[in-house]
Amino acid sequence: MTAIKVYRFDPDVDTEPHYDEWDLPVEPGRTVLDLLHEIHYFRDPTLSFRRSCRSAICGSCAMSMNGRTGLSCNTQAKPLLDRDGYLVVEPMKNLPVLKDLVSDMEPFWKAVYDVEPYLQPGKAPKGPYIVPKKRMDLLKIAQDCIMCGSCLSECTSREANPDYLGPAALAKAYRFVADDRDEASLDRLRQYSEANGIWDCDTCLYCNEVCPVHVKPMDAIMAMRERSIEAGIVSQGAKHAIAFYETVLRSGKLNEFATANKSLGLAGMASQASVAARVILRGKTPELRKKKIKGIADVQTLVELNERRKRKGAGR
Amino acid sequence: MKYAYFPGCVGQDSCSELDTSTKLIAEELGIEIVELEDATCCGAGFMQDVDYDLSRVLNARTFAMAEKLGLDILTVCSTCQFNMDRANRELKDDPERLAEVNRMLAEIGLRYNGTVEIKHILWVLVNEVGLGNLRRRVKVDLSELNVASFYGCQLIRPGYLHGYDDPDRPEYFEKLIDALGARPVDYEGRKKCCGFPITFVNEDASMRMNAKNMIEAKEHGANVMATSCPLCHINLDMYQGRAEKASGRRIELPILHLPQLVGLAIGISPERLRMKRHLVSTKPVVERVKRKEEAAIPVRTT
Repeated sequence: MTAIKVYRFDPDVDTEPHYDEWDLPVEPGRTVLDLLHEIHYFRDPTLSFRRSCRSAICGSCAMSMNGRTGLSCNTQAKPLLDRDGYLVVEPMKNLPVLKDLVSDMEPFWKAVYDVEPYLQPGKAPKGPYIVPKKRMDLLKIAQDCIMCGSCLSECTSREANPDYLGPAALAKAYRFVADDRDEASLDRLRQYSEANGIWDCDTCLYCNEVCPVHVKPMDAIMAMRERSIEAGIVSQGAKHAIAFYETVLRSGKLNEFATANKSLGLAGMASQASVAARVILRGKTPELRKKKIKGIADVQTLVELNERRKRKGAGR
Repeated sequence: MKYAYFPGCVGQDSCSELDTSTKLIAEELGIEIVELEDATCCGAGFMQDVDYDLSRVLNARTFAMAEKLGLDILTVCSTCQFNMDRANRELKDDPERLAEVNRMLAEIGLRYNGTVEIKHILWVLVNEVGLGNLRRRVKVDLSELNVASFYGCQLIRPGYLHGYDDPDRPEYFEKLIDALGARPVDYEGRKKCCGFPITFVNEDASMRMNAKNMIEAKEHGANVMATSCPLCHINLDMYQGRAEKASGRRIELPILHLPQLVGLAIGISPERLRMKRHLVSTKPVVERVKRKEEAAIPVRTT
């Protein structure tokens, strides 16, 4: 028998959340959801959690198990117990709690609605629209999303900034940006390039890591960044990336000083004065001019070859 | 133990103390390194934002140079590690893509066969130098140091790429800290983001992350933090003042690069490790460590 600790909070009764513990047999093969069912059916019918399909399709049973968010229906309890010596089940992070393990999904859905998650095809096509396989493959990293919220729960950027759209909504956004039939892609990219959009991702990779159906929200976000730069959409994030890119193409290495200078501009650099002064004092000033690497001509050849390849239409 | 050493851009520029300390410990510990002086930047994610395919080709050029030397690549930066590892994986897993990249590399007289591995120094220290070996080489008593590790996101996630640490329970760093005779501090923030990638986009959010992790580390008893990523070091050290401002809390947590911590333990002086270069003073760290022989002198009581 193992004590399983479960987060409890009933807004009608409790002022503070607390944990309840039950002793349950944790045999190999039992999922965390199985354990919750046993508690709900035989020990305490007031324990609340969401679930529907019990087979990792519906996405309703996402919760935090020993600190990692995932679907309770496809997470085995024994390996967690063996690894950590304990079992703790909590609601998702970054979302308000309605009761016990039930999260308020309202903020999640709001972000999804904000990206206009529907096809905007312009004129109706005359006949069936055949999407070439290569174009269809682009959607692979986003289209399997089951909207469970696991990625949002672990998103470190969202944790620091609740206005950030977050990985699930942006993966959904990419699903339409990369859809051949969508005519609004450019407007979409402009919208997503604004504050709290694609450039607010800190690339921490939690979303790619925890997604239970192997969607890669971070890759989708990065693909949209590339498309927005290609489309010439100006934003602070794009400015920084372009400044970085240009210094590397010039010398082969990053020029920290030139990147900051170009990305922030004069006013931005002035705002960094307090940091800069101490950096200079410690002799930590980055080199103003970067020595070119020996093979810089080779690098430029590769850049040209890559450009030629792109012109032939071989995109990502 | 011989590696093609990829120092990374920041590791040789604003954080050049990282390069210095890496070379010092490599020599002491018998890790032979051949520096890839002609390598380009890994892209750090920013090059990839502008042109993903180009950054992969440029990384392939670096891999080809290491392959020519018959060596695997050693990195000292979580960001270099991820960006190169991912490019390498994409080339190894897709022969068609590798062939296409090779057609481009052929124009500059190079070829990549997909035989190179990319390894972070943390993994090399634990798996190849070995914890027992490290333990025997410790000359300085670090037992007064409560070290909070800071992995840098891209060294542990995604687990399916790296295959070293469990991304939920990473322990390489903690094992290393323990072997060096210091005390590892357990806290959630060690796995989280320092905020650096968005410092120039949303400094407020970045500083909130930055402050939260350091404050959490201190609340768990840390008196020093060590990181395996120089980009994290920029946020944690250079921007610590801004993080203090954003959080309204004094933090004053010295931040070491991983090789500096190792160097300190095996008897390399703080001066040679260039610990005075940091913005947050490392003096409290130096004061807490003592050479083992000094520590062993019995103190006469009156």
